[in-house]
Amino acid sequence: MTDTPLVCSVGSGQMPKKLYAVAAEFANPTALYEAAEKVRDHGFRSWDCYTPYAIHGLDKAMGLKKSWVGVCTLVGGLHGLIGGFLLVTITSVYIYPMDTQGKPYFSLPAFVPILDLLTIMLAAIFTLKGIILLSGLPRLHHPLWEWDLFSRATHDKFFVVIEAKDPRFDEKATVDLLQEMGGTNLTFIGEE
Amino acid sequence: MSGHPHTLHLPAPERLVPWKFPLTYIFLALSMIGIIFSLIGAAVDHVQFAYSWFFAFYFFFTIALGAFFWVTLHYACDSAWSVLPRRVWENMLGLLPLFFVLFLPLLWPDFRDVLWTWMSPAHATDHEVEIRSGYLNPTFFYIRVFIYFLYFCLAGLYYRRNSVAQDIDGNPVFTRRMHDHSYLALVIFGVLETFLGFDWFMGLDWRWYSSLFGVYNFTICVQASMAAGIVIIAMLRSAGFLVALNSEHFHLMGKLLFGFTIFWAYIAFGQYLLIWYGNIPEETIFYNDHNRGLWKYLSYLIIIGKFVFPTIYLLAQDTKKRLRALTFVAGWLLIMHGVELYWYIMPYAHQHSILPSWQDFVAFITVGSILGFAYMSLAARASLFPTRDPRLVECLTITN
Repeated sequence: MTDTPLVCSVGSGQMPKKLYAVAAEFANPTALYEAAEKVRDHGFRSWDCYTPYAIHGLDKAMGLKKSWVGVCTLVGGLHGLIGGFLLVTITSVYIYPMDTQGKPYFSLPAFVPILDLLTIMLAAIFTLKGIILLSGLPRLHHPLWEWDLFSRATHDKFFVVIEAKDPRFDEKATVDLLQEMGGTNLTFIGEE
Repeated sequence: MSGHPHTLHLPAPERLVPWKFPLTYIFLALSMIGIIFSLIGAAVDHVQFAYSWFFAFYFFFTIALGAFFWVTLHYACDSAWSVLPRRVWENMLGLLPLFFVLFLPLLWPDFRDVLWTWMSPAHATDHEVEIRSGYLNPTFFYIRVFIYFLYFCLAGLYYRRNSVAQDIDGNPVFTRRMHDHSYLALVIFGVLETFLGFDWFMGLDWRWYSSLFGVYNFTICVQASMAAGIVIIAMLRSAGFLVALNSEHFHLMGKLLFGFTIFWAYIAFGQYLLIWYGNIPEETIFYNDHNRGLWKYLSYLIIIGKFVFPTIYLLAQDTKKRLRALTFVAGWLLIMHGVELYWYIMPYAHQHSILPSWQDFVAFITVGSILGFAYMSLAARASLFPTRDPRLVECLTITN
């Protein structure tokens, strides 16, 4: 039970008890892209952009570093390659050798399709896992979900959200910054 | 850190002036000397000459064939990224009539009978030729050679000419028209490239056959052509041209090179696996013939050099984005392209082990420098990139 609401629009005079972030809506991808560049240049770290679809080059505009997903893929692929090699070698050479067309038990050409497929499969699984974990999922709830307008981030709206935990965050200055960049519907988002 | 330019400056047309580069004179001189030595070689040892000349011819011809694929693919997909580098491949298409001239010596009966032995008098009464005579007969062979060159010369020149014509007025109708034609052009390319590979390349051992061979021939063309394009772009950049290209373009080209490196391995291994597994003598003879003596170690080198090393090297994003690193691996893949063709063609000349002849180098340098000289003269006749392509702006600002 809280006395003040979790979501208060800027200028309403109300503030959530514990501030999570300040959010602003932008009219189109170009405006969002330019805003992202400015937020990046102000040195913010804990902030994000929310768009209904992927905008090419936005990662650069946000100053994001190279993602670690590729490393997950590589680790997964190596697991598949080495694991697959051990799997086929141990079974068909040592545990259960079978004579197939008089070919040697250790026949690398016959193993390659399995190594190939296991490499791809584990690389894909690790990539998916990597994406999920690096995005901070799974989580049951997010403070932004309290904001009704935000559901349109998956439909037709573009948002910039700057979190309060950022060392450069300052209630007034950040709100001014977002307003100056052309953000509308500025809103304080609280968390419990 | 910031500073996102909102005005875009279109790059000015760039003209290559071949007479300013010593390379032009080197090519010219080498082609003159090379022709003389080739004539001597042909007179001294016509068997070796036929193989060496075919090796040199096919090395460069596959690159030009691949260029046809990349240009038609560009139009078929309405790609934007390839607008700037496209002229590099279009200029290769302009060389196709010259390839016909370079192919003519191989039709001389002395050389023809060495390469495609089914046409030689020694096999005139061979039962194995007789049962294949529906396809393997000289008349049909010449008709096919004529069709290949007719199609690739006309279609290649069509694409280059329209693209160059667009530089003058920037009319999008050119792009539209080439887009409409490119689907059919790609299909015909696929069919002709397959039969061309059967006739000239697989036909070196006409008893052997592989149903995957058409795709195999396609991958070596396409991969070698991308590698050659990257090397030419790097050379042009070092001469101060194509400055508008950035790391995004290199990244895209690197990804395609990477993809076709893996695709080559997939096809080459697929062909090997099926033959190894089926274990039918008339199919396995190919791998038997190509693994005698030192040829065996060359086949190991191809596996490592054409698949393992470039795949690991190109896996990292940074190597694809930096032109210097990308050029290194593209140059390496071109060398491996040569090694692979050498491994493929030469065991028919020297069955027991690798025996490089001076004629191999002479033929390679002769054909290479004739084509290099022609390429530079041709590249000089138009801007080095399409200046008025409707997708030029999209290409300049591309991100991936």
